[in-house]
Amino acid sequence: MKKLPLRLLILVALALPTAATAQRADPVYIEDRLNQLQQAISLLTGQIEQLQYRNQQLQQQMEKMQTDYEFRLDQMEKGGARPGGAPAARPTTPPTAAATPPAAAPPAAAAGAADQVYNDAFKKLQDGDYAGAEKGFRAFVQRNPQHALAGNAQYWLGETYYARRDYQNAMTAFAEGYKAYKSSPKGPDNLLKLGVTLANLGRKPDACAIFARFAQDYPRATDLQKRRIDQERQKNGCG
Amino acid sequence: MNTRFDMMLPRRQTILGGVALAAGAAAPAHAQLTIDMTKPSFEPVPIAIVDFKGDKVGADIAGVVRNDLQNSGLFRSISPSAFIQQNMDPNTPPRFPDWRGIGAAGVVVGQVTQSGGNIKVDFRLWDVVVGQQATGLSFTSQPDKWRRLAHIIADAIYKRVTGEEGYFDTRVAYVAESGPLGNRVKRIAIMDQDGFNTRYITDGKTIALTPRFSPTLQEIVYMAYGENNAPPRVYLQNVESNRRELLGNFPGMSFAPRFSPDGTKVVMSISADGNTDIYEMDLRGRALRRLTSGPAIDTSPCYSSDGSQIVFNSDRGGTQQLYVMGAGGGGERRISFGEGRYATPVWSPRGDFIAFTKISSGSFGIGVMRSDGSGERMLANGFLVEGPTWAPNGRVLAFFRQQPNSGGRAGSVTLHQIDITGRFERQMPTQGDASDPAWSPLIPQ
Repeated sequence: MKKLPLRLLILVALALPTAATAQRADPVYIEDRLNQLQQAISLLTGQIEQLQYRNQQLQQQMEKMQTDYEFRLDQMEKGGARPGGAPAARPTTPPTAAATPPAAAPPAAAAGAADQVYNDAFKKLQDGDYAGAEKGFRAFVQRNPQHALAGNAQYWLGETYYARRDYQNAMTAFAEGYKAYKSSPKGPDNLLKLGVTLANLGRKPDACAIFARFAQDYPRATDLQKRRIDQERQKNGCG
Repeated sequence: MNTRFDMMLPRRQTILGGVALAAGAAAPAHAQLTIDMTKPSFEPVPIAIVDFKGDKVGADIAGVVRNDLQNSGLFRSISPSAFIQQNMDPNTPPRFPDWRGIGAAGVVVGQVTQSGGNIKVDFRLWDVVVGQQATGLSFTSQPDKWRRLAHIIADAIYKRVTGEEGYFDTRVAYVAESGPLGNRVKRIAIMDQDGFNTRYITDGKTIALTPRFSPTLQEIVYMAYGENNAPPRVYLQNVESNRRELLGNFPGMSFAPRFSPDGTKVVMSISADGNTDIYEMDLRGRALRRLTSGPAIDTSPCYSSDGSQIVFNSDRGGTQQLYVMGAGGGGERRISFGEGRYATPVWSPRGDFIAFTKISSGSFGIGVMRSDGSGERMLANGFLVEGPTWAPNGRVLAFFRQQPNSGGRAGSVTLHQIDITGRFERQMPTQGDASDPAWSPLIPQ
């Protein structure tokens, strides 16, 4: 206990060196200190700017992911077919006849056989057998180009390629879908996926041109679909 | 056909005014006489420009039009020696198969007539693919202004085919450089966009830099060093009378001036007490207002096309970066976040992009980004590339390029233009070495 006051005394003595006091009054020293502070401030300013920017980017990414998830969950709950998204995601339920009623009923037997091909292909897609699904959907579209589900089949054909990252063939399939089955119930999804595929191929201006057609072609698209288009437009820097 | 055609004859225009004729102008887009310059790849439009009839200046006019269109990179001017149809009547439709045969998508014919001391020029652009007139205009001017007439015609063709405004009837101001490296003479020159009609507006006794046009092209502002080592100051000079005046008399130096889009103000940097900030000067009352503060160097201000914002560069964050603020100051936010330093930002006349010089790991580049800082894209790189300036249509940029000489040091300096996709670059002709270009707005007609 005795040592303590002594230590304090030494500390106090060290803290007040007369030389330092003199140094502080020196204008050169002050200018030097100011320069150091100025440098420190600009360094911090730069770091804050960078952090704010990163933060803003992350926030935007989060929001985008959130709406994306919401959209997908929403689609799953509706039991509808899968929209464009991560290739790994699999469709949850096959579309039913009720979801897409045939416009002109083909002869019952033929219709039954066609439906069977469609459903089998869809099952394969769900199981991740993309090559099998590809064959099925292609056969379906070739044999039943006027079938009410032909637009859906064409879209899913594109998805079988997309899931395998075969963007070239996916692009051809989606482009065909856009040309031949523009007014199919899958039309908006098909257009969206065509754009996304083009973007994946590095053809952003073309992707943007495709996204730009969306509003005109599908004025009655759901809000979620419109939002997806907006996100893709932003992501790809469409003007 | 003939009756209808007669109805389409151009009306006489007075001074350099052009009116599109109703016929054809509203025709739908055609596959081959249109071009979407935003597409990632396209073929230049093959176009045949026939020597204009009626006067010997007609061939000269056609030559200027060919040169303008070819230099845009969007057109391929077909050599007149390939033309099959000869001695065309400018008032009747061409024989379309003859033009299809040489691969032309469009053919331009015109005639020059004397009218009371002036020349009147009519021209028509025929869409060869659909066999219709695409556009037709008539202009009148003094005979010695025939080059301008030709540029205006080239602008009309460019607009009809690309859907974008033209930029040929414009001028470029630049710093003309001459003399040895250690003792360069730098004076301000103004030329037509195609390199003709060069005039020097400073005498070269002191170094003059960074010329910038007023919106009417009547004046330019620039920085010039004073005599006897006086600090550099910003001057405003009338292009016609060459009368010049000092813009404000400050103890320190002033530099990097630029007009506001409405021409009522000039922004510039002023250095005072070792501190460089951006100031605005109202030209009507010469009132000076400080827009930035702080110890950082704030410079290279440029207004947005609507005059509501200013982009500038500052080293407040440790390195030179781009910032945007309100035109009256305040609300400053950084927009550049890539690797390296950013300098000389210029806001596109269309408002959509900001062009800049970027210096990273010792090399220079000219790039563009959206006005919020997103979508950064580099267009040109090199030993030294710097100082972008926008053509009035916001789709083409000019800048300068310096090549290293044989010793690896700075060599000759030249002006270049590049389209916004970065696909097509060409050197712009100048009398001698040239740097720091400023592209004018369209010349008021």
